Amino acid sequence: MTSVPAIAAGWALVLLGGMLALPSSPSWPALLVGGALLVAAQIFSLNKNDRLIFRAFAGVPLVIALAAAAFWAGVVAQAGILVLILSREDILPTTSMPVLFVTGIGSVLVVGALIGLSDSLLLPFLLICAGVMICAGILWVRLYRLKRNYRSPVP
Amino acid sequence: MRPTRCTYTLVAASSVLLVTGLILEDPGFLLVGASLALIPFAAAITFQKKARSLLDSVSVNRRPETRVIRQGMECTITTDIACSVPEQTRADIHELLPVGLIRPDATPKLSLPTGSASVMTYTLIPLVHGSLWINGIHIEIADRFFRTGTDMTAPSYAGPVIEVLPVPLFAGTDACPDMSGTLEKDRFSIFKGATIRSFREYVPGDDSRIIDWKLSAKYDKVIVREYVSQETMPGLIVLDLPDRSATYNTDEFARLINRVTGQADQIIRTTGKVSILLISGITLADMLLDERRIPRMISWIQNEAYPRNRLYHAYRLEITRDIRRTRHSIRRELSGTTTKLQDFLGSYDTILSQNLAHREKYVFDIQFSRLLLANGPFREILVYSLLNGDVSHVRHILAVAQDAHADSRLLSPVFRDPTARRRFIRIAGSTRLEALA
Repeated sequence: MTSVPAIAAGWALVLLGGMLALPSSPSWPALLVGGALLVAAQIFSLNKNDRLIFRAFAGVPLVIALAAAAFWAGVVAQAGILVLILSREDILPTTSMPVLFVTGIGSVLVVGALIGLSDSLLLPFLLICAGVMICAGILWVRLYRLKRNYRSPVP
Repeated sequence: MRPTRCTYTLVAASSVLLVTGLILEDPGFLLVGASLALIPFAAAITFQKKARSLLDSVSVNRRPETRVIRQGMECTITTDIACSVPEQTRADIHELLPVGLIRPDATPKLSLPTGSASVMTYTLIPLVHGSLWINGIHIEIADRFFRTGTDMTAPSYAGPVIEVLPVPLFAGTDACPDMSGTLEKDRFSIFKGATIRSFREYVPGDDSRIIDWKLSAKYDKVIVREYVSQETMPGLIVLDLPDRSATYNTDEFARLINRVTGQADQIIRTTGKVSILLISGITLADMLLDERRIPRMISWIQNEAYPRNRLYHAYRLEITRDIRRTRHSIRRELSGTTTKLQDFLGSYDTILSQNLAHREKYVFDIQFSRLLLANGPFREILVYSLLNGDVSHVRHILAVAQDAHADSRLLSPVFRDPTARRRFIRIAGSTRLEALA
């Protein structure tokens, strides 16, 4: 998967989320500011690091505003912004992009489903925290095993 | 795996959004917070992939200068390191060296931003005898989001073994050791004196048994003791360079230089330092004071020891001691001689006494005396000379050396001839004359 279809898909998702939320949006100023920042990050010739920060922090008010209007529109836009961020080649090498796209979008959908279908927010919050800790533990164990391969056996 | 500042910012923003979402009961905040947390995870997975490919590509080839070295001597090691560093990743590599070493240079390390291979060369001085095993390398991998370090000590990255032979195998072979306890132990004693004269930093070639480990631990550098004993007092070598305008035997001069170099090497190994003075007649040509490093001493002799023009000669300059000795003989002769000779000797004695009364020290004598005072005491003063052409300055050198109460020796190839030797016995005084083969 090249980065051009990924960016196109990301923008398509963001626009789709925006269109879904526009008819009933109560916080249109945040929507406008977030959207403008996101477009500005794409248009202006910023370097890669600045563009990453712009995308990450422009997406925050945008998604919050969209989610306030229509939660599932926010989920779709969030998936689109994540695609835009992950499509950077220095973050994700080309070889692992498909897997990580699917994982990233899948994670957003799972989190969205958890939050949207749950009666209270405490349970999703706890599940997210637990998920984060489990993933961090798995990564730490993988790295430990990787390092162990290059050390001499303990006498 | 340690996060960088960029990752900390993302995690902090994510945590704030998650907690805000919980407090405000706003699902939008919770969604954004959870999504932001995904970015560091994606970066962590990518970082692990990069680390795996980089570690797989590392190859190390270490080549020591020699596999067997003497304890306390320098050993140069060249390490070739090849690895493929992924883009936007940095790898810092340094050697994992065992304890009991001195590294005269800085810690051997290199940085590979995007390169694929590099070489580092460094010098080690082992202080402890036995097998010296280079443990391997430590590699630090860093990208924008994470950094991690690991020791690569598997057999393919470590070694080779360098055998360090202990000093006692060499002790006494090139030195004049103190003989205390030699008969009982059937080997040379390491006793160098009962009183410590000073402390100094370790230099390659020092006996590791004189290291003061407590002081070394206190100041974090290896410090050795210097004892008050005849053996540890340094020696002074005086090399008399031949006159460039006079004829001299070049082969003899080359052999003389070799002997001086060998003697200086031996003095450094025995006492830790040597001073060398180059003269040409009564002209001080150059000097090397308190040199501790053998290679630098050798290169200095090679560069500086060549025949010089002699601008001044000493055959007109009388030595005070000789004038007094002459006056003493004159007074002894006065009683048993004729009146005419008595008159002559009386006049001569008067002239000599006037010379003594208005006497000024010669510049060369002053310079040489100050040198001995400022840098001494010296265990012995070795004067190397071809003794061809004008040798009037030799008497001055020996006189100053004897005044400094140092053992002095005059070494020259001409003393192989007994006649020439007899000619110098009279001026030598307490100085020993030795023939150079």
